[in-house]
Amino acid sequence: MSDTIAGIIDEKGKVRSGAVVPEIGRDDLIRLYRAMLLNRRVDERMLTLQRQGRISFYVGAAGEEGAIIGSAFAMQDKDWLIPCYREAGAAFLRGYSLTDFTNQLFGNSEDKIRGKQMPCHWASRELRLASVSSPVGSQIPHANGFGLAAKFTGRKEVALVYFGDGATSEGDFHVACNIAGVYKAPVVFFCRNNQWAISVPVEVQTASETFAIKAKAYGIEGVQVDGNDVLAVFQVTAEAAERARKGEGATLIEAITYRQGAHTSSDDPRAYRSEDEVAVWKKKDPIDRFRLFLVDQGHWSAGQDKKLEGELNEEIQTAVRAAEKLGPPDIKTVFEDVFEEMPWHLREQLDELNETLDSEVE
Amino acid sequence: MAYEFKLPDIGEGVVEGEIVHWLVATGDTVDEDQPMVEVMTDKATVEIPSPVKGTVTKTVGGEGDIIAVGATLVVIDVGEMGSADIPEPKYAKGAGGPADESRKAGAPAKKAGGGGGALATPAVRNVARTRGIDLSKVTGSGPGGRITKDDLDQFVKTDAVAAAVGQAEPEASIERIPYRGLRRKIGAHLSLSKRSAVHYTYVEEVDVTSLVELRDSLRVRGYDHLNYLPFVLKAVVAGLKKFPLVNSTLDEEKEEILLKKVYHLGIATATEQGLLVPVVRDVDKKSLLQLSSDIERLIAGARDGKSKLEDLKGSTFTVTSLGRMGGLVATPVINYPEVAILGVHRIEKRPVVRENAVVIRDMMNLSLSADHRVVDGWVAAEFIHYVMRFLESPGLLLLSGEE
Repeated sequence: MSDTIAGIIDEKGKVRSGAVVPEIGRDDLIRLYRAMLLNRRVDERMLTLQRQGRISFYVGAAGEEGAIIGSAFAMQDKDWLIPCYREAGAAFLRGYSLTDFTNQLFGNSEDKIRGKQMPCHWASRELRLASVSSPVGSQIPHANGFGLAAKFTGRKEVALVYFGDGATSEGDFHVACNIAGVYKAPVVFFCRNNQWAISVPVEVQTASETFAIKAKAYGIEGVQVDGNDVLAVFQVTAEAAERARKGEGATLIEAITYRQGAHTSSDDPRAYRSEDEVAVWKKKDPIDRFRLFLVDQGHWSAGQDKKLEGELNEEIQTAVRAAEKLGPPDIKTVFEDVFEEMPWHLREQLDELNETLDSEVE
Repeated sequence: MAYEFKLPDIGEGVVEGEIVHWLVATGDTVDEDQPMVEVMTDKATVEIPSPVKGTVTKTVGGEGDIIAVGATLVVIDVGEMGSADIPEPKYAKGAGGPADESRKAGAPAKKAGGGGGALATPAVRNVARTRGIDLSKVTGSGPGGRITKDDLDQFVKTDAVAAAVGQAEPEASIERIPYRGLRRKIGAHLSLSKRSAVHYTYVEEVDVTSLVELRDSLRVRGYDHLNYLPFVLKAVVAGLKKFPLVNSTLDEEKEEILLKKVYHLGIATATEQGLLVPVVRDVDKKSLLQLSSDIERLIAGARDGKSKLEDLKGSTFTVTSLGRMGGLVATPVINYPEVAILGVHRIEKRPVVRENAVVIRDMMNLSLSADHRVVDGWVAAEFIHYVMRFLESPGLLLLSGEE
């Protein structure tokens, strides 16, 4: 491990020499582990459902759970999380229910956003989870909006925005980093450097030595962290959030991790990368590593692990069974949720639809 | 109970998949989520897991077969399980057409524009779809056999026309004429012209009252073979000399415009076999009478099928005489690689305004098509107006070459 990359536990789950384990109680450590494992098992189940034609699309996070959940854990409930699209684990940790998540995947009548988004494009105002925004990097400047709004109104809230290594090549990334630097926005820019932007490898994404080093040009902090080390990710994110909260400005965190699976259910990584490369990174798996750490520290056992797996499986099956039984949202919801008051042209279309539906009933 | 598993849309909007490898066979038992088959789509190769537990009673299609989304892939006997316990995949509905069919990879796609394994960009696929072209029948000339828009044009010009006609009408009501020989050559030549040159057409009306009087006076003096065409050719040559760009060709490869210093004019001639363009050479050096006899000889040769090869080659500009039925306006197709063509319409008496009075004059229209890449609109207009001067006042022809 390079001196400049923050790390606490190694690939065997041992504490690195000289590293200080952050003070996190056992319950919280288990909570972290549970969220990571839930994230992994949900991904596996949902990808299978997609292959069976039961949901139309899915984005998994396998290999990146440490980066996603460690960072979310460092934030307070009043802070906003602005997702990219791979951060369901962060939402679960916040309390976003598996039921809500699954209903959204099926776009059924209980879906909170009533089938108006692709699967995996969840949102929750109550939990301060901004809507997943697929266009690459478009969510990064939103973080400044959340952050600066809090700053100007005197609320001690921080915004954390997730994006991938590919998004750093977008103009939005530059714009957001620059504004955050100039106005000392209380923002954490969290770059999941998972080595691949769909099929574009990190080598051709940037000529910079690292992604974190780009922070220097904007006058903000930049740090690299072992993204597969959930505790190290927690540590650097907590420090970044603390700086932001104290009015000391933004931080760009580069979490070095790996996307073990496909970009989405529509992608086939075997077309552009080697199985050997994947195998190397699987040995650095964040969940395996954290489990070893917990066992090593006396917090966890194989028996408990087996029990947890059973619980998670039951939880997932229950959510899927329930979600799949529900029909689609009422057709009339198509006209709702966009305008506060329905404009005349939608009113006309709705009336026409009602007439058609009535005549079909007769 | 027999459960039919249909191929779902496993990408975002794929319509079919190729069976790469079967992982189960008839008679095998499968568990829920056990992989059954590897399927390759436009986007990815994936393993399809079974949504139910049971015994495989049928697999549809062999390795290499293309299966439509929504077509039955596997039938599984799920025993006592009721339909309420079986998940109903929502994303296994076919995009259209009969679903329960499979076909060999590389065989024609059912849907025009689908093309299965054919390589083509979405833009080209869209063109193919709009024009009803089956991509699997088109040979690609691009990198790795990729089909380009030019390939579609080429395809339409040859095989597709006959095929399309064949589909539109019942066989008995059609007479099939082979599209070969001269017909096909004309087609290829003219479509090359339309594909390459940026055509536009400029139309003017000429008062040829004096020309008609002149020709009539020559006819009564015994020159009864003399018609208007030699005068037109002479006037055109005067114009070409004044505007050399109109007497040129464009060499796209070398990026050069070649100005021709000779004036060989093609005469578009209808024959029984089709359009031919015999060439009157050195029009600038010949008298009206020489031109007249040359034209007569060349046209007769073309119509009798006796043209020599050199009679049909080397024109630098073409005139198409639209004859007695010649209409008011035409949009002639340039005789590629020339850059312009002049359509000459019939002469007729029309009321026109002269000195604030309506008078009857002999009028004739000219339709000039030009290649905008070389000849801009104002050049074409100036060229036509210059040519018109000689047709309006044929006496000027006596002076041509002396300006």
